[in-house]
Amino acid sequence: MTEAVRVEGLCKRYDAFELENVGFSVEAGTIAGLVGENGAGKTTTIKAMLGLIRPDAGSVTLLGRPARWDDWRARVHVAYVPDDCCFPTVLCAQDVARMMRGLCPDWRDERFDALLKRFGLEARKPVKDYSKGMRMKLSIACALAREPRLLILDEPTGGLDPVARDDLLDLLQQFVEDERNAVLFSTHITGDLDKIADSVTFLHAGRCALTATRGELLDTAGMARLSAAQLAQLRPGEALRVRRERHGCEALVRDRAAVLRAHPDWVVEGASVEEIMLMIAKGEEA
Amino acid sequence: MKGLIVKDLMVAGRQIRTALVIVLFYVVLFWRNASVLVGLMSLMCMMTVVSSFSYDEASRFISYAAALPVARRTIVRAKYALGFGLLALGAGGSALLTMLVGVLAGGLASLEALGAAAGCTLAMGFMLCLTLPLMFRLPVERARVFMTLAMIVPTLLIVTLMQVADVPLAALERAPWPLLLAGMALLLAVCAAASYRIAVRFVQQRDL
Repeated sequence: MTEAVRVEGLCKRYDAFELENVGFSVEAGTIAGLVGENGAGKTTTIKAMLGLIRPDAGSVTLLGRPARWDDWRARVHVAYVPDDCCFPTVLCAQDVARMMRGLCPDWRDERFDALLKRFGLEARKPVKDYSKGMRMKLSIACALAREPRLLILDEPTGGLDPVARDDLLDLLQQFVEDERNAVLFSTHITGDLDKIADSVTFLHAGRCALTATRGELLDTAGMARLSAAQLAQLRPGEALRVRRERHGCEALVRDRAAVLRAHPDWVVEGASVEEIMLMIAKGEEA
Repeated sequence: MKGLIVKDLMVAGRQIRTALVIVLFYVVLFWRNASVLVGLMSLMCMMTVVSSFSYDEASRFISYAAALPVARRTIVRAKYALGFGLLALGAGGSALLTMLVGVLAGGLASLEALGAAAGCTLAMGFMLCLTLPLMFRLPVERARVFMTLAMIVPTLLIVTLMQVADVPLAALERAPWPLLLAGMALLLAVCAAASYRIAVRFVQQRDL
């Protein structure tokens, strides 16, 4: 399987925030989620990947091509959906199509029209009269109309109703069915990841806390509810994150089956993506 | 690049009614004194370019465009093409309007009107050379302040010079104005090239 995205050692420093050594990859034919609390660095990571900001260090490869921040050719088969609609609000979908036709040689009018119809968007209604969800759908239609091979979305399901969210997630699954295309989307709605993500990268405070396939996370990792004494018995490297409360401790363990074999009387269960995210955000290094 | 220019023209087109009302207002108000109309349309065309930046900033469009397979240099080029293209259009419109009103009201002579319109257009051109890099570098509202200062300060300087110092500006009135205009046009071309390079540098260095 070829890699659609490889990010290595990505660093970017701002006054009040620092992205440090972020790295992950996305295989072709898969959907990868980038998850983290607000301010974790998801949008910064995506912007660095797309050349919108110049990273201080690190490398990005998109569809096998090194993506230098000033190399627009690296984005030829890459489509981006930002977290908010970026078209002047006085324009309508038809105007947007006219603009994109003159800007992107890979633009397909028939595909755009079909997507507008699927999303139920009126072509002549100004963007300012669209709801937040409709604006997101317009952005997605513009991205898919270019028939990209890599789709990068920044919080695409925010503002969508459950039906529209479900539709979008189905669309993304269809997009990767041919095994050539790939999707990377950032979100803090963990339910989306449960449904479609093949791999998940957790960002926390500008750092990559964990990156794993969904199988590794849901089938292998687990949440152990322990006393302080039991926590001390865990071997080094067994726990990824721990949380010490007054009533007891919780530990996110890498391999719950192995922990249960060693300690059959302990309470160790499977962890959802949301629980993992909360442990990463609120817990501490083991 | 074509798509970017089309986008700005479509956005400007949504404001066409307002623009026509403004033009009509000034024509009606100053129909006896056509010299006021010189450069009106050039000024409005320049303001259209400035307004396009406001729309882009409000929608964060430049960030979106830079994520497309489009060079940042192309984004800058499109604005310059729009700006100078509209300026040329405005010059033509301004000259026509001024000649028409002049003929009807017996005001400015036709050739002088053309010359005055050309002079105003060139002045707006210099303003564009100054304004466009600022628009790419600063938030639009801050850039507008600098733009306003760039209009006011030279004007005040010239007026002060004429009143206080013994600068023979009157000699300029006797100079062959077609030659002056040609010289200004050449200088504008040089300034436009420098302005473009500066704007490209600003955009390439900027985090979007």
